[in-house]
Amino acid sequence: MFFQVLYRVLTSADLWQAALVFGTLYLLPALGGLMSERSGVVNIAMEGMMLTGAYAAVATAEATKSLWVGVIGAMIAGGLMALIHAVVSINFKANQIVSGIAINIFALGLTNYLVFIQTQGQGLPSLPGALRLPTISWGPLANIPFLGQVLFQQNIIFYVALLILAGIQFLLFHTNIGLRIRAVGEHPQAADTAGVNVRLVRYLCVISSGVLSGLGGAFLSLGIAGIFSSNITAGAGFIALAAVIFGKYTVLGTAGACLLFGLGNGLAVRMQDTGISPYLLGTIPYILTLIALVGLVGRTTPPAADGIPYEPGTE
Amino acid sequence: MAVPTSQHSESKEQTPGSNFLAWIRRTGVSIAGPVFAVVLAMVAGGIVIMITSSGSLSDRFSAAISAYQALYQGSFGSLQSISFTLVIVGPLIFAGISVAIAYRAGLFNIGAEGQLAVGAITVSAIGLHATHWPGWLLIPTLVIAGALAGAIWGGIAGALKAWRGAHEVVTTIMLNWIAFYVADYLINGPLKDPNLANSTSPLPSQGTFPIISVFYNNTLGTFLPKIPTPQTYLVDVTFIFAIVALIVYWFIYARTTFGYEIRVIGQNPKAARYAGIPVRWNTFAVMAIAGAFAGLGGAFRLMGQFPYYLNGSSFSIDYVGFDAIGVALLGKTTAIGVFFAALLFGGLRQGAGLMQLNANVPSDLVFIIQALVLFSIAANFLPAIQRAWPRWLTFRRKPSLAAAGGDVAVVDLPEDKNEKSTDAVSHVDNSTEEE
Amino acid sequence: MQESTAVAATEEVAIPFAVEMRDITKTWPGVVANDHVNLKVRKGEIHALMGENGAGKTTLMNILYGLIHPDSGEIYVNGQLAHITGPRDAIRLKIGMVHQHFMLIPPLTVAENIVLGHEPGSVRSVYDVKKAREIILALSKQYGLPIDPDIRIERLSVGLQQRVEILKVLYRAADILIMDEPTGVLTPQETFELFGVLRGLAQQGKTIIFITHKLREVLELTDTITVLRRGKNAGELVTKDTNQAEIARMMVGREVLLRVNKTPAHPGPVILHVENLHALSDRGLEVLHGVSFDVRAGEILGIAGVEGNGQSELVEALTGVRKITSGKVTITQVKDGQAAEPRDLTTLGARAEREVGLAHIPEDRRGSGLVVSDSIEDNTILGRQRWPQFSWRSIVLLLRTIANWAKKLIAEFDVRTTSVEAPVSSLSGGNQQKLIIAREFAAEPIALIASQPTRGVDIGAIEFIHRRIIELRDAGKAVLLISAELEEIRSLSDRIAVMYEGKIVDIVTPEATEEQLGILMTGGHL
Repeated sequence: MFFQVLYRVLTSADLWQAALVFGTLYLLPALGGLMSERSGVVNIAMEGMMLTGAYAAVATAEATKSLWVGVIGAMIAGGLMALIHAVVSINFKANQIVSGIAINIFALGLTNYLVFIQTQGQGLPSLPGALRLPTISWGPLANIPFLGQVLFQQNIIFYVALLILAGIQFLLFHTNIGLRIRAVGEHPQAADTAGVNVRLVRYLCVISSGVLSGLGGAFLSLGIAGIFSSNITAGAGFIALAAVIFGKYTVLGTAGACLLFGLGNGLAVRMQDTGISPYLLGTIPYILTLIALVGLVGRTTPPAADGIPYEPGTE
Repeated sequence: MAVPTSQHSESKEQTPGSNFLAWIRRTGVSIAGPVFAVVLAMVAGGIVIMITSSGSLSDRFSAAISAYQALYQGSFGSLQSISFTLVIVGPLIFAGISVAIAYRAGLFNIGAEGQLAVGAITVSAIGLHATHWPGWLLIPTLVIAGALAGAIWGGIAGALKAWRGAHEVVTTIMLNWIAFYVADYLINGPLKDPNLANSTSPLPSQGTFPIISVFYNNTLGTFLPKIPTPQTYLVDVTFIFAIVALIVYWFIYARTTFGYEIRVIGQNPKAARYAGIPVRWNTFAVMAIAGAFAGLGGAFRLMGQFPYYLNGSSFSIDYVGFDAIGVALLGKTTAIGVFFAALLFGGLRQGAGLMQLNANVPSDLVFIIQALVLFSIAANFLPAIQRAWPRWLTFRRKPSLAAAGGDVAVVDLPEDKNEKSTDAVSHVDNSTEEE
Repeated sequence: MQESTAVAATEEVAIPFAVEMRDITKTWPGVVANDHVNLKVRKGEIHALMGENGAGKTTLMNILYGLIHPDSGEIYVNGQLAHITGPRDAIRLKIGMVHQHFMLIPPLTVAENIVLGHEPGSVRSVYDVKKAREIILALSKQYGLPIDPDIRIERLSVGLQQRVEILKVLYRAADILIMDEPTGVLTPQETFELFGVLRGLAQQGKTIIFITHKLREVLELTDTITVLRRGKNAGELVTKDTNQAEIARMMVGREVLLRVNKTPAHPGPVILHVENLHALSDRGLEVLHGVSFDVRAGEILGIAGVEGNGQSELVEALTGVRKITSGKVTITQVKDGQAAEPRDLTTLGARAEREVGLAHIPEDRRGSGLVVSDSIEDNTILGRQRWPQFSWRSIVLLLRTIANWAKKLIAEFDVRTTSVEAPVSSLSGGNQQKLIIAREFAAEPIALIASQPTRGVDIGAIEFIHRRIIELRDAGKAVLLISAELEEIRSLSDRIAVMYEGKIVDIVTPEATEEQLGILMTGGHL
């Protein structure tokens, strides 16, 4: 009975559509994390940057009554959070994991704090439809059975994310900037002596991780949920981090991993009519992530200088 | 082979007085960083309050002041509030030890909350089925079960790290969420009390611990003065277990070979390998032990505090696990440090409730203060500032281990004529070495 | 008479030095790395910058290249005052540096490594693979340095990697090349080729500053020499007018002991027996292809070879850190000339090996031998913390005993410190090494494996360490010595085994000449 339901669910377009939705949710911060890690800065703060972005999106959108200003607000907020991480990690050479943890705690506290202040403790209301990120339907393409629903009736951010995905792959591997980023992540001393501005490259990469995570947060609050509530990200930023690791720090691997984890979420939602407790179903994405990390064939190695603060003049 | 022996006649007078001063200096140097971090964070928190409140500058300033006043009042302002604070501090000590011991081995245990949850759930589950067990059997069983459950939960992450190289930050967080969801499922399902809405059944009373003041009244209080209204001082006997746990923790890291070995692993994993220290097993073991401490915290919290049952969603909004990270790092992973840091953070949590009520400042400020403390510690703000203001602080070298050694590197000791000429070279050696 | 010399003098002064560093001072906390140092290098010459470890040579060149900022002093390039704040400025002044530890990025290709930072086109543009390839092949041809631009660095030999480093510098149109200890990782053959390349570059007008501490190379290659000692100028020399002894004296300031005094060996029964050892490298490829040798009681067996031929892996295999895939290792206790039962070490881990009497001085003391942030007394029991004299039932540490042990050790082995509680990071390199030696020797081992025991250590400590090793030998123990310094091997060893590509190719006496050893070290046969 269980497996019948499982089969039915796995072949339903609803599932895959949902999988892509959640996959996108993970993909944006994951790409951000990838940029940061590739330049050699460990970033476990995607969770906090996403959360900040999610709040900023709602707050800005409601204040300006404009959806897209909200999105931009989210990206800026994420970028600012990332800036803190950048300063602490790069300039002060702090332990990057502790800094990331601090950002996550900071984001949780700050967002709750601001919501309380703004609403006198009432919590934010749902967003009106006008301020929700729209779904785009590609006309005749949307009518293709199965694929039409899955690929051509997605939220606009999904398509944006695909563009960003392609863009980052191109940037990292076919441009001069990408070469420098990769060099800085593997061997910052070598890059420095070659004349690359290591600090600048790392700053830009960390900030862009914040911007992308913020965008992911906007997708969460303005796209999926339609509201902001405390700790709404519920570990999504960490699943994104796991996706980067599972994807062996490559762009395509990360994307594949995000899809896999998104599938986990989709299953959790769609399997509810088997009568299994929704609580237990809710563990699926997390268990899936664990299994992915455990079952990794061969240990993944991050960029060689990942996590090591760069000290010029030492060699 | 003649070897100069004279250089170890002490070049300093070792009077009790100078020893004490040296100790004061060392202690001062090592707590300077954390104290500075806390002060900075509190000030910054005050600024946050000022930014988000309204009115003139002095209005805002008094808003911050009254917020901190309420914070103090609610945490340490009265004997009763102190007892409330200690209720929080107890489990926080356990969780803090959990994070601290893992950190010594170079591991980030973000899973203290999940390990705590697993400990509590296990106690609840056993309590449901062992309602007729006598107290002398039930209590140890519950305690051991709680520790074991936590150990297993921590051990999973430890094993994954040791044998699969899985990053413990991610695995412990995943395990947290799994624990929360499973706990929710159990609390709303198999463990649910038929008469209560989404809570478990309370533990049988012989499986609980009494409040300290009540316990005192019933024992020492029979011939010493009794404490009036003992029920109002909520802190229970498990707080004492927390102190015991601190002593055990200290013993482990200061006096045992295991503590030595995890220290080596944490500071230089390569040297650990070359010394023949089994890195994988120790990684697994330390995470299991860390989980056990956190599990104990969860078990004791349930067994010590009325109503002795768990609510639905108890854990996903619980913050002990997060706080523990700050506690461990602020306390520099020492037993004394964890104790004081737990007092501080526990006080913040407890006082935040009153702060929100009276001064209308959301209790989430505590998270913000915590985060700032962590930033300050991680970024070594204090030494960085010292470096930038050389004239002010030349009497203090960087508060690092070098000071503990008596701030000498290589000194002009009476020595062989031969070696004299090479002293400067070896001096230079130290800093320009590339390794 | 006076006039012509005056004219001659002004003519000389009129040609500026390619590089002139005046009065350079640089201090680190507690240490003066460069103390009012002066350097003058003429265009087109190969100039050696010499000194012992820690004399300040690399610091001075890092300042020239902009990696470090001096506290005071001035730099003139081709007569013009230069403000060098970073490598980019140095590059603009046509200064290039080939570092001792290569600044290459293993997963990237030769081309990517060479053009990094000065990619064809602008920073923002797409990476032009073809253009890069063209430019590199052209450079390659011009200077006689053939290379394939599309190979990844991690697949190149050390000599070729160095070639890439040189091309990097030439790509940036450098006229002034700084070479920092370039021959440490090269075979004699590769060194010969390198010298040819450098002479060719000098003939084409390039100026070369050659940092080294190797006397013979300097005499072979260079035109002029500046010697630094303890951060200060010790003298300038013209190469063809000087000799090894004079340079050495300038470097050290006193007569240098070039040979260790020792009595001939009286080797007893075999203590360490190594038979047909195979092991895999970190990458999973076989790195030891059947290594066999014996070390007897009362003898020092030296293993000579260019770094990277499996010596490190051999040591790791012998000390229980690296898994042995096939073969056997045994250790035999020898008392008063009588051999006991051999004990099999093949599968034992590092901890058990110590218990059985094998001591180890690792080649990377701060990486694998010490926990630098820990106290001295804690480091004295590293690896032996579970021994009954240091811990009760191997569980509880006996702190007072350990403290006394540490005090005894630092007294006997001349480790300079005020307290055993001080962190090891407060010790100089030489004292750190002495600490390791103290720890290993005092445990009364049967056999000692010493890997690069005097690397990065000042002369006084070197003499001490050599003496102690010989004493250990004279006490009837077996010593296996691995060193990249041929001098050290030749002066200490009773027999020399040469290692090449994971095998022992021959075992010779210390009377073998450097040429003979060189041939063996590069895979030749005598």
